[in-house]
Amino acid sequence: MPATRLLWFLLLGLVPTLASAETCLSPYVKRLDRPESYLYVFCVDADAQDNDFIAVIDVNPDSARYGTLIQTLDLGSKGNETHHWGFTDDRTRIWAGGLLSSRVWIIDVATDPAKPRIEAVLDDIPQKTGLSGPHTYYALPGRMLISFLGAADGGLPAGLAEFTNDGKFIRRIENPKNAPYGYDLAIKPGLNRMVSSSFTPKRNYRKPLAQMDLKDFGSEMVVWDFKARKPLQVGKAGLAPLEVRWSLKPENDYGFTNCALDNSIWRFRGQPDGTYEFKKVAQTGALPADLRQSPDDRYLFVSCFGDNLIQQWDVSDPDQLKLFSTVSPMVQPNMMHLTGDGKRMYVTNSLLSTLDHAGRFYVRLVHVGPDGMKVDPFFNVDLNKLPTGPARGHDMLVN
Amino acid sequence: MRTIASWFAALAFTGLVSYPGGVPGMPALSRSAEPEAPKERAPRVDKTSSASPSPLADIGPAPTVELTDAQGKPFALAKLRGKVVIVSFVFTTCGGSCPATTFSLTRVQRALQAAGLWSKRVEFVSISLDPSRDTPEVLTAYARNYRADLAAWHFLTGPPDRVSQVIAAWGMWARPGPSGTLDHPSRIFLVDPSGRQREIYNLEFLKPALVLQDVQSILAETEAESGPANEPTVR
Repeated sequence: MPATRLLWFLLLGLVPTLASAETCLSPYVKRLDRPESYLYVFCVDADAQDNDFIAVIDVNPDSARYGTLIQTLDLGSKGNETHHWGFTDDRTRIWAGGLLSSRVWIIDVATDPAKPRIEAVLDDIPQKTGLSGPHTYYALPGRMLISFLGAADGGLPAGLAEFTNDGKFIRRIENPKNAPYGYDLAIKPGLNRMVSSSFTPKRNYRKPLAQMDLKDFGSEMVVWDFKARKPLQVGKAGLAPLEVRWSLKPENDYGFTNCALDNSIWRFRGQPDGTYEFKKVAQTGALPADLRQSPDDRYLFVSCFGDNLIQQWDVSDPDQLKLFSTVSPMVQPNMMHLTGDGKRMYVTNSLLSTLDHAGRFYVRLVHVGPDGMKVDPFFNVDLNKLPTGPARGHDMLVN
Repeated sequence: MRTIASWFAALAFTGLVSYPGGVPGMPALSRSAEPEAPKERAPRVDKTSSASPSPLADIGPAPTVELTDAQGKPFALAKLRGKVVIVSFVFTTCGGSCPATTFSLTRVQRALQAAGLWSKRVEFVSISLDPSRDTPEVLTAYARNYRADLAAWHFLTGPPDRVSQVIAAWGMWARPGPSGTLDHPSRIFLVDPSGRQREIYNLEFLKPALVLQDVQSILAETEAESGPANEPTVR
């Protein structure tokens, strides 16, 4: 075999197999090359009297401690509204942040994956970026791209900012003026496109739900030239488009978002003229709070926070979504994390301290099979009887 | 169609929220798609306006590299000031991403040669992640195997402790993975003529045309600031 051809085979071998890739992470993140051993859960102390923390749950089925909380990492402060996080590209660190404090922790998960440790705390994010409410932590090679929910004063406009993996501020990226809200972002490198979404800034989300201003939510989605970090188009979806999920297949120029206050899924799709079309493609249960993808790109999982259920939608035809299965693992299911093989989905049930109604918080496991989702009757990590009292578990990552 | 009103009704039903004054109304926001004018799909680089920020951010200084090249001679990255440098980290016995990295860079080398930029304006540096095995002789054989042009492609090694310091300074690492072979991140660094990191590539998305465009963008930016580049300064 000619050397060139052999090298191309080697190159092809580097491309992650679609059916076994971890979904909903930045495509630049190193994929886990084995089944998960640990589940990290980002926790808010429920009554805000104790420090927020990271819970480590043993999810190795061969372990005697399977399904139990084996470690906590005290984050050193309380009332942060610890929320979302993301791996760096090399998977050695997790960047994690608080929506109320705008504090960001850089967590070392490589030295001992069972015992994460704080490597750095960034207390001056608003001063450096002019932004607040760090939300999505999206790995770029050697860097982290963060979307923010608002400006440093808690109002608008939102924006994006880039940092080195060890926490040095690189630059701020401005939202277009006609799309001042921020929430999630996702990049399709092969198309050189990034899409970002909209929610509401701190001046609103810090209030109890009944006091929130419903006119202070965005419905805009921004299509960006990723390489240039320049907005190309502002489109409109339903109110509060949250998670941005590109189709996992490289050839597909479309993706989806869940519109939390419109109870819907919208599809965005590139057109021959280079613009993107935004179209509502499904009506979901109440308050679709999280959106996840199956590794084979066939299904979307939607947690319907207001209806206490998770829906699995068949998106084989991205314009004609079909409801495939539903489960109700607990009251107000919210964040989901699907494993790389697409067979296990961990679920938490806290959204925001200002929105939670459940009162009791758990981590459950949903098995995903050919006939749909099934709740594991035994996997039930109780976050209510901790030494510091109940904790609201939100985002998760596996390692 | 379920609306925000029905959502709040659902929450009210669950007891999550109550509204003495009734369910709030829907904000008057359009739901229709509003695509704007057709846009190009390629990166848009404004080379004419000095007021326009470069699409390539200043990520930070390129850390010092003072090691030994494949000819066994001392090499300092600082000697390449005035040129664009592409820095990679590989090891010769790697069965993972390194062969593909070096192979992809040979494609970039050819693109730069075709553009007349190779050696004159752009050079490559590949630093060994396994210096105890990658002697200058081994690196020379490795380079020849890939038809790397050693005139402007510097394969570097050195005492393991010194190489380790260089690897760490670049935010890189190499350690035995579950299979026993060295595990390491896939990052390729683009350094501008003044020694600043301007882009970091991931192998999976490394395309010669993309790198060429970035190199040309940096060279245009440099010339706009100080006129056509001179020969590199030797320090």
